[in-house]
Amino acid sequence: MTLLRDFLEDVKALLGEDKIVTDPWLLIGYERDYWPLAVAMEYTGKWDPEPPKVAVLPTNEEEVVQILELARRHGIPVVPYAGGTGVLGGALPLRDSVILDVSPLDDYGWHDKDSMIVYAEAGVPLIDLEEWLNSQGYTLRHFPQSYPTALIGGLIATKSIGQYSTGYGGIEDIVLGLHVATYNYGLVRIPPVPRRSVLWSLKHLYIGSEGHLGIITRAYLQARKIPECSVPFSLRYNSFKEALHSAMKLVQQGTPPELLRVYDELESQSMLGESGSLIIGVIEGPCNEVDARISVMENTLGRGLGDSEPALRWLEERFNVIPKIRDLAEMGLAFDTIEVALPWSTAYTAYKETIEKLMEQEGIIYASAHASHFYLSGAAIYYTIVFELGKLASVYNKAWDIIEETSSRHRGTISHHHGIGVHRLKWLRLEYDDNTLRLLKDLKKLLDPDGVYRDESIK
Amino acid sequence: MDQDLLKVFETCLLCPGICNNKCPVYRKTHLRTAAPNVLGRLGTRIIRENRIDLAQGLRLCVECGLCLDACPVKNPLPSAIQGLKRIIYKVPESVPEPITLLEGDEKILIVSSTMPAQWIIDELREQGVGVLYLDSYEAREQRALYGAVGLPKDFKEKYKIYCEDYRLCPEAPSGLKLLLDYDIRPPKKPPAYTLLLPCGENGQASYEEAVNVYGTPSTTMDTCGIPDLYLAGYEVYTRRLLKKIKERRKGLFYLSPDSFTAKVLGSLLDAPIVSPLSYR
Ligand SMILES: Cc1cc2nc3c(=O)[nH]c(=O)nc-3n(C[C@H](O)[C@H](O)[C@H](O)COP(=O)(O)OP(=O)(O)OC[C@H]3O[C@@H](n4cnc5c(N)ncnc54)[C@H](O)[C@@H]3O)c2cc1C
Repeated sequence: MTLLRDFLEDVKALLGEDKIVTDPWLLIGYERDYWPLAVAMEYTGKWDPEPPKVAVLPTNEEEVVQILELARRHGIPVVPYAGGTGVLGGALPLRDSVILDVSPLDDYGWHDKDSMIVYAEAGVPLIDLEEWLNSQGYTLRHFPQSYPTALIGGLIATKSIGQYSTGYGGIEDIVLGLHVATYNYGLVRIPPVPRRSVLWSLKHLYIGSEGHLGIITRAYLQARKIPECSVPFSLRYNSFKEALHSAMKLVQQGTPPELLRVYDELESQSMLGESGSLIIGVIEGPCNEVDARISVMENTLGRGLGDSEPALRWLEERFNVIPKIRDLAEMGLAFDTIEVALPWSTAYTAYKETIEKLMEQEGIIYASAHASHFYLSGAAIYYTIVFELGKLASVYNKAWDIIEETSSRHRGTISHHHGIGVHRLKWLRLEYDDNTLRLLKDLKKLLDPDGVYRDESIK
Repeated sequence: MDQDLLKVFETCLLCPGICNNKCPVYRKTHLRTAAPNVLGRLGTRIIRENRIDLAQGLRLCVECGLCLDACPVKNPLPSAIQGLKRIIYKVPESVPEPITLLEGDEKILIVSSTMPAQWIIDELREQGVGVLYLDSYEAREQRALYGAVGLPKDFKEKYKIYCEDYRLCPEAPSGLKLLLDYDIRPPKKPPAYTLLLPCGENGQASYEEAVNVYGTPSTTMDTCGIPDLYLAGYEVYTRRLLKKIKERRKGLFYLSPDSFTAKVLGSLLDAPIVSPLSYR
């Protein structure tokens, strides 16, 4: 506590009082992020967190470096907080830590318009940047479902991916350069270039680093022109297996739709009111190219692309998560979403095995999935599990175990895009062998020798 | 009543904050408590756990309704906040009073329950748009009444109304949006300002400080007759001052025509609004 007080005195002297928040009622917002377990506990009145004692709100990159230096000097861990939409507790305060809210770093603009490169500080809401680009005919085409809320720093720190990923990739495909504040190397600058072959990639070290290696303060991002034409479509199949197979064919024939989503039978029904297994997609680009690609896709599948109605309905509601969440809460149910990625060769088997095992568990009301990010080599499978609140304690971790273990055994990853946060650390050992895990931990130690950044648990 | 309010707050508690980035107060101040989904959590705790100590957080909301515009389920958070404040501060339901139209107002009317800076009103008038200032947020908070907020029926027939406050005329388009269509530039010279001085011994020192930095105010008032003065959303700009206030119970308050509302408008207009006093 004295350490914290001394730290605060120093921050005050350096940056002034305005950038420090200590009133308990002003700190409530930092008690949690959007980890569904924390949300359910708060909703049911079982949430009794230890709120953070202090948040600092630096307004420029230099101040972030200075705060980190002071944190190191006083031995205070720093937890960065951006939009608070992370779903794994990554932004939860640690005991006697300081929350570093990056939202005041909110400057953005063109870095190089001819090259369609924008700069954005860590606190810029993605929605602001996209709307500003749209007003000039440009776009990032990065639309995670948390698009209205998430901030640039949080998105890069968790290696986010958007709904149009099949066409445009994840955030790693649009980040051209970065600034990262550190206490031991000052402000690390990775200038934006089209591509770089200069030893290992520092940029990729920080993308997905979740606050463990420094604070991302600024990014240079690749914008593009808004596509001229956009054609939504749907395809109906009898089973998820068949639908997934068709998605694989579409992806592997070379010009997959920019947006592609495949729902299992349960989700087709519950999300879109359709029986069987539904594929929805959007193909976009120059109009004549879109037409040509539609014929290629139809040839590949041996059938015409179906009506646009379900896709349009989905597009309309794609950021509106509230009705479902509220219905579940009012019924006394909790939920979680867990995403993994698997090679095509095992994706369906792993999915089937996972759902069967989940449904055997007492306390799980239902488990369903969809696939919404695709690669030549495989797909991301996104599970939704609905729990009885009363049984949460006994079944929650079990459900996670089943999904992570099955994915890992079928040569998949334990996390496709939500990252690790605090909750997923338990399953880290499934991802890499001991030596590789040691390398990962040594890297953390090397870059954070004083244990300042966020969480020491991967050390 | 409480149960209905609770439902509204709980919906925001469950939400990841879809409208957060549209809240001018949160965006301007970066105070997370001002983010609508956090206000939902606050309201829930106030009602469920009787945490009156958190009520001051509700005052960060200026009830502009922009969160409602962005909410996919149109969850009425601003009116729930207003309702809860009314209960906490034991305020009676407001009764709309007839309002006399200000001279110079034209057929287009922006109804504002918060006070835009005078020069904005003047500029709009010059362009043929009337601004009807019903009741400032600060005034409402001061009196803790929320009274006199209402719009007589015949106004709706007589005027094309744009509303800054959705509660006054829910069907009308947002007056803030209309403001955005006008090319309003801040005046070069800061407008005249009113200085509100603390009651008692600190008054003179505050006066001298203000004159020293900003020149002579056009009017001065003191808080002696207003023992429990709140400056509502205003306070987020004067955190340092607020600290002082807390220390001395009554401290330094500035009231200027460029109120908090003007700041919010400034951010929406994307043109800095010159303030006669720097709040830093
Ligand atoms: C409804 C909903 C839908 C979602 N949909 C998607 C989706 O489609 N795709 C997807 O990828 N994710 C999705 N997510 C997960 C989440 O939105 C993303 O992980 C997002 O990138 C987090 O951004 P944020 O600004 O909210 O970060 P926060 O939650 O504030 O932080 C996330 C993590 O990054 C760290 N961090 C924050 N800022 C920095 C920084 N500047 N430097 C270093 N570390 C930092 C934090 O400490 C924390 O560990 C969704 C979440 C929700 C609630």
